[in-house]
Amino acid sequence: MSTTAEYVLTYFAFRGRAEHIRLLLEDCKIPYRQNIIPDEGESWTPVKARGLETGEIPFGQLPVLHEAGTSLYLAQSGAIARHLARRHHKYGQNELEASLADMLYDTVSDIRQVYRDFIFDENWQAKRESFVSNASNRFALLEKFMSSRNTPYLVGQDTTFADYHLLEVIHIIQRVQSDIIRPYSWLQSFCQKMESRPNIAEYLKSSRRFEKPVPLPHA
Amino acid sequence: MYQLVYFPIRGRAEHIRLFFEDLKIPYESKVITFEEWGKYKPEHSGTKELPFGQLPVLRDDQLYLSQSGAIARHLARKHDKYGKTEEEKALNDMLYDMTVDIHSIYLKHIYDPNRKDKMDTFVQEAKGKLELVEKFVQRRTKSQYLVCDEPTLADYYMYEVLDILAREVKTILESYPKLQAIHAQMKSRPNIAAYLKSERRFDKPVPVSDS
Repeated sequence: MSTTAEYVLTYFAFRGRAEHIRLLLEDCKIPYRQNIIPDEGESWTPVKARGLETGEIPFGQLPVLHEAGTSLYLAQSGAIARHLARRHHKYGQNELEASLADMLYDTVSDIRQVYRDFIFDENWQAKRESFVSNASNRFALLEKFMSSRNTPYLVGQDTTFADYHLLEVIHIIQRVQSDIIRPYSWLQSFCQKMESRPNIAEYLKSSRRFEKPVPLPHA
Repeated sequence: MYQLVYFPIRGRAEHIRLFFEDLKIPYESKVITFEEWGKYKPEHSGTKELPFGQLPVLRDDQLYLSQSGAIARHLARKHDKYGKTEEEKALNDMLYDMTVDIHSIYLKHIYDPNRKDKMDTFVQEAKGKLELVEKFVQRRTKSQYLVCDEPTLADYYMYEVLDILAREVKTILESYPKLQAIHAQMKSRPNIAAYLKSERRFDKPVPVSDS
């Protein structure tokens, strides 16, 4: 199992579906470089077409992870996160933790989808209150899970790929409602713990970190 | 014995049932009707039995697992149907997630009360994805199924989603020979064929009367 392999992560110049992958790579100090596509229009169109042709962008979507020296071009952010997690000991310490990590990752993905539906809605201003309520209810269930699990991270003593995803989703929703996790002490301490992990702290302050979750003015 | 808790439809549980059936893994089916759900959900949401207020849930001994993708992966790991190499596992994840995307296109369409007027859009969106998967699978000329020479994680879900697409639009798989072949191969596996004819098999993909 090589830990010096260079990964190339191709994505756009915002956080989007790549950010939790970046958080994992950064936290674990996994060598990687970014192939940033400057925009979703003129820059992306030829890259997408070529990528579909060659198989380097297998489904015409980003992010894609390529491992230098192999023929693997992996699409789907969940598949990328899981592949890196498998490789770099971020899939839990045992079978139980692995399955819980899967459940939590997908649960967080559902919350991200709710965010997406809201933030891309033309009528988002009118939908803000019901979005915040929906998100809060979902965070309440995560809070309950965490308190019953009683572990420092979502599934155990160490971070898994699910933790990076949750951190990012909390962050993007905090941009809509800054006190969204105020009622939830486990989620609050989770956030603090994650943000103060040295490599994450450094990354969040760095120029590698894009500000916007999605390329919309109100995001 | 595993227990799978879900509604009396195919829905998000069907590919899990297909996995159990194909591999002759004993399982118990606990059916919650939509009427019962009205009470079951608020009573159990946030408890061990229903951690995130959603079905399906798999009970495996002391573990209660929600999210169909987590359940499918849990079973695939336990029963060694995730692929042999790291690459095969990664590709299984990628194709499984792609299948989720295609399923979402179907679900958005099937729940639309005006869906009969929007067939063209549905077909276009679905075919856009099918074409990409077909191309990908064609590139992997060595394997009989999506990733490996035997069905693994993604195949059970892809088979179900291809099946419900074709149920809605009979000819939709016509331009995709490799996907058609995988669909036909899965359907004719003896244990799956027997299951499809059995009374354990719910007819409807979703609780929509003409689905």
